[in-house]
Amino acid sequence: MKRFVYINDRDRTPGHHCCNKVSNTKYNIFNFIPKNLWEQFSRFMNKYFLLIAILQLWPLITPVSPASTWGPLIVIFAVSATKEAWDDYGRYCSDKEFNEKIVWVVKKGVKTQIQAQEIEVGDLVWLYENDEIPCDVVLLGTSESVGLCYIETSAMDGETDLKTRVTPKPCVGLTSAELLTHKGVIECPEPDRDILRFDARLRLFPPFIDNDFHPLSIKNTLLQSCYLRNTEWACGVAVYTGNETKLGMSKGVAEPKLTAADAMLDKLTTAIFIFQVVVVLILGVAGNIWNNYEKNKVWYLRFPKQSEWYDFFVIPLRFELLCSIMIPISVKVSLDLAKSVYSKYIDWDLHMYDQQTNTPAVAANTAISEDLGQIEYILTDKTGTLTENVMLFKRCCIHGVYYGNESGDALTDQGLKDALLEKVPEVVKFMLIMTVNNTVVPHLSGNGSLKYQAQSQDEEALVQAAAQLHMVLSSKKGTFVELNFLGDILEFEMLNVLDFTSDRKRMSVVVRDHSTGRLHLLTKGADETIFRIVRAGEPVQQVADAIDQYSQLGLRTLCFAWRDLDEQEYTSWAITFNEASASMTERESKIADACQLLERDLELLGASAVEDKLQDAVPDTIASLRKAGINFWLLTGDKQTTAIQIALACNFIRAEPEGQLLSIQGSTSNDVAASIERVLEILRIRSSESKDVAFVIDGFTLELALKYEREAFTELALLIKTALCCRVTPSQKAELVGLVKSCDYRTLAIGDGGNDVKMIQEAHVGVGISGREGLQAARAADYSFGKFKFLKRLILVHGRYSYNRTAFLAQYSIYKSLVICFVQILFSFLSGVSGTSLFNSLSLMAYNVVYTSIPVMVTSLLDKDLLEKTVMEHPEILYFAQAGRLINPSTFACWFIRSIFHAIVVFVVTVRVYAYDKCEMVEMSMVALSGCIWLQAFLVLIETNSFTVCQYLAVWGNVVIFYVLNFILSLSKHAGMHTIMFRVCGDPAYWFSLLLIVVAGIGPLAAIKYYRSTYSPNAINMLQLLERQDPIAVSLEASESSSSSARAVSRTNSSHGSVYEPLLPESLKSGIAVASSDNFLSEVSSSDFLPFSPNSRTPLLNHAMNNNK
Amino acid sequence: MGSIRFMELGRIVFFSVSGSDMTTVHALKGGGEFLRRLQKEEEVQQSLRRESRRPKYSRFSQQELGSCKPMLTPRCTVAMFVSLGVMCIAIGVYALLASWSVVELVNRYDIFCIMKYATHANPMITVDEKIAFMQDATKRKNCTITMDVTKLMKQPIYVYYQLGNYFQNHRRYVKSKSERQLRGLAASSSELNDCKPEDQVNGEVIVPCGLIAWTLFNDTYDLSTNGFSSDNGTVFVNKTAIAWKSDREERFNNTVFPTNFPNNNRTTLANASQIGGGWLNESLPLSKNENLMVWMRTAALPTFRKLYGRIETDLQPGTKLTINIENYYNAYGFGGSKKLVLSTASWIGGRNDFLGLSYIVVGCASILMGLVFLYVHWKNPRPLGDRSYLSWVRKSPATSTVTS
Repeated sequence: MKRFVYINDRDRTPGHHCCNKVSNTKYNIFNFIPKNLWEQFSRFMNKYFLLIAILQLWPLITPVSPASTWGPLIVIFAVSATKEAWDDYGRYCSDKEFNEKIVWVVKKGVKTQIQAQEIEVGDLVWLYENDEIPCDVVLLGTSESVGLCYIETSAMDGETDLKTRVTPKPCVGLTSAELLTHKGVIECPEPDRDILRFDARLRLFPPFIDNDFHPLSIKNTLLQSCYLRNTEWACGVAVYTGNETKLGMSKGVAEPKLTAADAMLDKLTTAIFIFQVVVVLILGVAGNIWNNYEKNKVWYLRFPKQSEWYDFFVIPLRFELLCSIMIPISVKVSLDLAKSVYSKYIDWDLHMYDQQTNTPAVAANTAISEDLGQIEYILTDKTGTLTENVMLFKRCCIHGVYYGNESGDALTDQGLKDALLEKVPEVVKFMLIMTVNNTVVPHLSGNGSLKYQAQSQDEEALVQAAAQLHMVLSSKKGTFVELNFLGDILEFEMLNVLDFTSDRKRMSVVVRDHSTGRLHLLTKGADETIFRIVRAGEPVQQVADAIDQYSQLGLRTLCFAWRDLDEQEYTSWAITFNEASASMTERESKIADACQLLERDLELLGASAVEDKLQDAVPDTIASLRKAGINFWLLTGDKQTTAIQIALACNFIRAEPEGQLLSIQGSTSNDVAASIERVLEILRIRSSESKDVAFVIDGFTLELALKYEREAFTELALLIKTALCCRVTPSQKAELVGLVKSCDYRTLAIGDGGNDVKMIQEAHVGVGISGREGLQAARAADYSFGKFKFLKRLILVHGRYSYNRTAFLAQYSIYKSLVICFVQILFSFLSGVSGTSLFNSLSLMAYNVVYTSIPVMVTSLLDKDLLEKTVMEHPEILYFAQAGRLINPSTFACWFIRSIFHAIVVFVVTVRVYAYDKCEMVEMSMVALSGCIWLQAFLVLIETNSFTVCQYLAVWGNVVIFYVLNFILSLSKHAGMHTIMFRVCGDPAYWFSLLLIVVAGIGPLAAIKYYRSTYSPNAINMLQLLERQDPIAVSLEASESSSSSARAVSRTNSSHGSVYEPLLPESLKSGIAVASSDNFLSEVSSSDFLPFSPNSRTPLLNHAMNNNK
Repeated sequence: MGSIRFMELGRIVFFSVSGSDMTTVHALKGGGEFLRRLQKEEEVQQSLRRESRRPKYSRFSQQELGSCKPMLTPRCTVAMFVSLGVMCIAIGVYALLASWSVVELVNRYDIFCIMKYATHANPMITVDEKIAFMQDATKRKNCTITMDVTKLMKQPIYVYYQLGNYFQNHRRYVKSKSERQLRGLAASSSELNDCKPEDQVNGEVIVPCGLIAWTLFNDTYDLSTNGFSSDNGTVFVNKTAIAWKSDREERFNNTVFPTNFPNNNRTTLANASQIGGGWLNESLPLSKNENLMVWMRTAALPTFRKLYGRIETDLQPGTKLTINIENYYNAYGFGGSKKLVLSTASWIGGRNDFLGLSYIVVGCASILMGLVFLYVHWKNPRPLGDRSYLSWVRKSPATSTVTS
């Protein structure tokens, strides 16, 4: 299907395209109630409660008053509907703001202002600087003479650098007057969601001469929600509008995340439901048998002579209602309440507040805190997540002179300053390359300050450093570059840009110095490529040593070289180059060849070192979390060498002999399969060795692996604890998360940029670093904070506590309902299996809502099994939270058995003590209820690990509330409980029964707990004892373990130690060989794995131009 | 993000300008602007400082509430179990003594009372025969039983009737009453519905309605010592104040008189005349009918005792009690039992060994548990908080990461 868009011609464009009204809302006023109800009832629990509530309307079968279910049900539904409505209203408002934004559109040759939602396909949209683009537009003209414009695409892909868009060839050079009136047609595909493709054609109608079809690509489009930057105006024709834009099509409703504990709770609930059905059927049949057998004998019941057709169902349904409290309606509410407090704890946590950026931790998703405690895989982004993403020019070596080595910062190096003031030629040249040879765009912002827009942080760092050294890049107009060097204005004309490619690994510019009129070639690039093209006799060894030293410090290095060109040489070369540029076949290699001609016999100036500091405490955080049994995957868009270097620096992988890095790569599916197979073999063979094995894979190979070798790759992924994935796209990141997820592991994705959004949304838990790459990740994430190191606290403290508490709260909630339900069931055997409720409806409701929820609620908010400090020092303890170890069928079975045991204790004691002359029904029900409540109070006490005043208050206050409430009810003449509680409490037998119930019910639990914690203690018990016994010992051990991790750190540090040790004579060659990416990889494939010696050198080369691709 | 970084850049650039080389100043369009920018930047910084998003500190929000962690150490556990056991045994003995102090006489009379009327024509073997006899209004159904007092019974001695296999707690039964009626109000429609099939007679509402009232127990007992040939041997059974005070004063209203009560007019309702309980004196308000009150306090268990009256004199050992029973109530149809119980009371009520025995059992178990723990601890003392028990300490550090 094709779409034909007639430019600027509303009459000819078919009107069936949707208007530009963006709508993200889920409901409207009319469908809100039915749709919301439908959604709420799609959940099993809600269906169940509704069924129960409806059944209760039938008085024949209801054991309690219907209000006891309808009341809570309506409240719960109202609350969640209100929340939905509120959220949807927020979406409506933001849509409205977008839709009603005023935009300029050309109508009949005149620019007019309309609302964004009125734009139609084919309209000519006129945009000004900093405008948000209202729909997908094909660029037709810009204010720049060359037909360029800059856009910021952060809303789409999260990349904050500016991207250039070009007008299609036929439109280049159109004046704005021509643009207003010209007509044409664009043939484009139907709307899709691919933001990297736009395969369309454009034809301009006469009077334009060049009216053949001209191909269009994504480079010619401005997509919705991007911003026009650094361009006075741009205009284009709307091709996709409203929800049909690329962005609109790729918008998906984020699925609400279900935590593992939630899922387990759902499973358990289903199991209980099945159990309940079985119980109901058994009791129902038993009840019917009793009826049939006794019906004619028990005259005092006066069963009707003829039976109704539904009689058989009455008793089962009665039992269904009687047992309906097995699944307590309160569990959902109390869990939601508790979880929202857990997430508040995160918001409030001062330890996770980043002073530097003034960012507190934010828990956007209030429902999944307990999943944090169950994380088994962490998939992390690199730049900005592990590193600060603040590139700083730190050192340089110019002409054999090291700058910045003493102070650690070249910018404060007096030697460099003096050299510049003295205008030492090499230093000036070096600075010129730093300033000129880049794609940085200087930009004088509104308030007059100079800003640099750069596609890479490295280039920006270099330009900024130069600026601080008084060589300020003040403006760039087309090919003219203006510098301000110590107050002098220097002007250069950039004649040619010899672009960066991944093969060339260098970038050069040919400039003409306006003051002298001379031509220069300015080159920067990776050391190994530069070394090959410098002229003979240059101090290569010197620079190589410098680079070696820098890369061992974890700095990102670049080599700088210079050549003066003479006019003739340049002119002849320029012809070759232009030919190559214009060639239709093998353009890239021809250009490369052409460049080669000029890039020779260079004068080697030196090397620069840019630092992207690791964030504070990253190695320690990773080491701790790894001890906690969490596996780490590093997913980065960066290149392999950089990734490996960073991974080594932050304890991610370990150097030989402790660690081993395997490489998977291949260019065909067969290669990849073989490579994976080899790695798998190595893994299987060496699984016994205590080596930290990791693998490294790049995006291309990964794509093949995921496409053709998914199974093998999945197996590999499960065997390995650490993986480095380089050069992966955002969707591949998400796919990897999905892969790990599909193996039933709990995943956490952490990232800081828009390119991490997909993976953050895909993972069970998404964490965003609200860092320097904007807030996209933080907004999409469930949790966000300022620094990577907070992850440790988030998982170990908040995640673990939340999980422990949730597990307790959820299971306890079901347990307590089961207790009262089992008492009812036991009682039914003494009441002719007729479904009499021992307890009145008020007591039942209050039991669930008040008596049993307050203490456990408070406990589940405040309880701490271990101190935060202990947990942080013994991350291994997290093991007891992972893989659902605290809430699973077996733990639940314990609670289940406990509930049966307690129900029996309560029932037997009550029935036997209150036998014969005392067995008045209302009295007995109060005794049984009191028994349950006292048991609950003691159970909460025995399950509590640490007591605060609040817990005591809650537990005993709750008991007091129970008595106060019932005394009040006993005062009322009209409730069925008149004077009951006074009578009951006045009887010493009551108190002795309660004591007996408590001792018999709690004693065995205490004995088991003591035995377990003393004779088969788990690590939690051990640490509890340690904590209690000898707080110093805990810290001692901790310091020991932290010192071991410190040792690890220092070891890693020493491998990049600041002490420079001369390498072996052949190190230069090997250095080049390793650093050259191609050789490096082939070496990998030949030997299957990379040995990492501490001295192995992989110079960082995350050059600015890498990102150009 | 951009703004912060560029501000930094700006500052550094400007500082360097002001620092060493004044020649660049003109490039930046004069020092005034530079100063203005500096000021502006400082304002921004200040506003940032003002709007600190630092969370507020409180001990609750930081989860730093002071807490204590009780720990089950061997010493305190053993002490706890043993002392708890001793306490339980003490309570158990106390309760058991109380229970044993109660003197209780029980006599099941339902079988004896009907077999007395067994004739050749009606051998009373089958249930139907018994029912037929019970339903025959013309037959006398009294019988006499004797009970021997073996121990001194101090007054008050409670006279109970005990029914067995009688489901007063059945769902059909337990709801079949109207509280509003008892209070003197008109029964609500839902209550009347619950009262079915004893809600109305010939379209008129029965007061008190429902199965409970309709099945009122109506056996009567006349007690005397040494036969009842002489009047002075009659033992007076006080049948007042046997119901709860609140029932007498609040629940059963003194303005409500039984009306349309089916048992009072057995001829009009042929069916009801044959089964069903006692009749109610229509001139007596409900608040005076304590039998009904006791009966309408439904029992939670199928075997229950209800108070018939109190004997307010001591019964000496050796006294032979003769009881003349009017055996009206039909417990034969459903296989129930009827017993007459005379019992004194202690603080735990009637005779009930359960509480005492179970305390003693629980106490013994608790002491035993304590001793077992003591023995285990003595035999196998385990230093608390031994780090070597930590799983990851035992393992070699390389494999310390726990796989799942």
